[in-house]
Amino acid sequence: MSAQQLAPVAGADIEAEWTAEQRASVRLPLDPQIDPLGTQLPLGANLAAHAVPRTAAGTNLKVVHPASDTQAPASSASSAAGLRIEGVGKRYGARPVLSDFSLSIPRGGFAAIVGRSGCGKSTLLRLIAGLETPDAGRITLDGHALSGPSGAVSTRIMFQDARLLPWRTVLENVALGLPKSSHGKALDVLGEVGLAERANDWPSQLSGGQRQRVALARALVHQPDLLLLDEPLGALDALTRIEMHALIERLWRAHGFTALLVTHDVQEAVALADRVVLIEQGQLGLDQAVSLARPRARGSVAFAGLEAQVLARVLQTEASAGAHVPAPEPLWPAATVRWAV
Amino acid sequence: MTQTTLTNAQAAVPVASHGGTLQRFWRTTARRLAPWAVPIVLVALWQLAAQEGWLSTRVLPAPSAVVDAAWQLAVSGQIWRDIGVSTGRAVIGFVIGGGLGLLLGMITGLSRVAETALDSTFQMLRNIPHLALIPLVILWFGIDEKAKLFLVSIGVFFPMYLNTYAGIRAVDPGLVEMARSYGLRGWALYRDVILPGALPSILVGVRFSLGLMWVTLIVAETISAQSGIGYLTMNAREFLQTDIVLVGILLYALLGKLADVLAKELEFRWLRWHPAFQRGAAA
Repeated sequence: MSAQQLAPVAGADIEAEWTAEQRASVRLPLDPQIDPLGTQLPLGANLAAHAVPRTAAGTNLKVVHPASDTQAPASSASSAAGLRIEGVGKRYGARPVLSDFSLSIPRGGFAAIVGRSGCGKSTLLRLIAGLETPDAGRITLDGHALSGPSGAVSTRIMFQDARLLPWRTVLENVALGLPKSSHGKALDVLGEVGLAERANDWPSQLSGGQRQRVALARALVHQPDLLLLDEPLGALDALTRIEMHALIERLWRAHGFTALLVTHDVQEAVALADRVVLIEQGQLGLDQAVSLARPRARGSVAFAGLEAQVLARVLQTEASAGAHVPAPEPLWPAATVRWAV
Repeated sequence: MTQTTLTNAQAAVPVASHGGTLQRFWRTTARRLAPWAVPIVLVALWQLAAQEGWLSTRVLPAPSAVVDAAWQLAVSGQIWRDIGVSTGRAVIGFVIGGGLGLLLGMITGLSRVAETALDSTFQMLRNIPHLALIPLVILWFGIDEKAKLFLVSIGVFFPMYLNTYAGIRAVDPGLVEMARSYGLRGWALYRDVILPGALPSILVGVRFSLGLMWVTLIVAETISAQSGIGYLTMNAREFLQTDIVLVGILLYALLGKLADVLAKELEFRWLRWHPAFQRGAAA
């Protein structure tokens, strides 16, 4: 299946009506200090009311057709906002990991990428983060190229392991790469993830979930336009994961960044994203809009139905790929990163 | 909550009886003194043996005689001069050899080119026992200060080099990648990520080096010296002053222990973040 075939499913012709600005206008008066995990939301009704325009916008994410680029120069101003991946290819040695992959997420959208191990989903994230360079294609954020390890300041990545510097306190970790004067700002963001009182502890004194919250704060203190989440909750227990889902969703709504989540957990993808994308054999396999109202009730019929539908599709991929030699996880160049300073 | 339980416990103590606290006091004291029991008994036996004439004073003078000799040397001021000279040699040799080891370890750790060029050479050279170089060193430098400093520097160089190199190589690549994606480059990346990551290993190198520093210095000073602790002991040997020889040996032991305590203090100070080095972690 190619991207072109799937495009109508995703509502290809709907542009991003629901922009970050609009969402900001209905921003809820959440108090992060009181309610770090968003578990006591007394605003369920409000949320449902506000969710109406969101669902009306339906899938505000669309697959980019190579052809549509030429035919729609008029809408380039709006379509340039957000993340655009155009015909990206990447190979390790002779093995192609991604080939002619295209995807675009409007500013403020939340997309989840699922797929079996080695399908290229993490590679895609690393390409967007600039940790690796694509062999072909172009990745732009709000019209600016995001290629090369230039460390695009507007993009932040959260890894599966928190990757906190063990020799720096929690607060110093959050303020990494910032001048000392911004410690106040770092403390504010630490408060948003509910860890302000742990500011002077060492990372080794935190639990796994708390470390990931610090990593999230570290990413958000830079006020990124794009937040990349590389299976950030994969190593956490189920309860902590549900808390983290609520936290990530709340911060996404509050800050209005574009989010791209890579996960192997279909439920997580359906719980968080506007849209679930399946990558199989380096190409787009499925592009499923998720138009459930937020916050999403895991028990609801619509949720369970959608989860089952996506999961069935993912499993079908695995079955069909069974004959095919399972590709090993690519050896990340992380293992060979050089510290030439 | 903890406050209340604490006060409850304190209040409960007198009720529980004085015998309990006293017993606990004796138990902790005994536990603290236990490691010293064997040395104290040995010294007492030694003193007894020397006093009763079972041991010739030429073989082993009484501990009291050794203390007396140390006191005489301290009063005359000679011991301080010798300690000063030996410590000076040790420190200078350590700074030269350890500094070079640190520098080259960092260079080979950070640069693949330098590693290819230098590392296999160092790995080859480190297998030569540095004390085997003594005849060569005497031929090169004679028997003056330079020979001693050279030997100490060589002895200290390899542990520093190996541990620095290994430490930098062992820095978590994930952390380096993360720091780069947060815009850390060059000196900032080095200062905030690579150096602290390598520090535990570098400090292990420092402790090894300090041990080898004294060993090398003892040998070098014993061969030939006009001053220093080694000179003190060799000179005493000529006059059969066994007590002064023992004073010299004890001095080396004390100075070596002192260096180790200093290195440990550095570890506690610089590796506060490390769970293994937090105070009370061992308890």
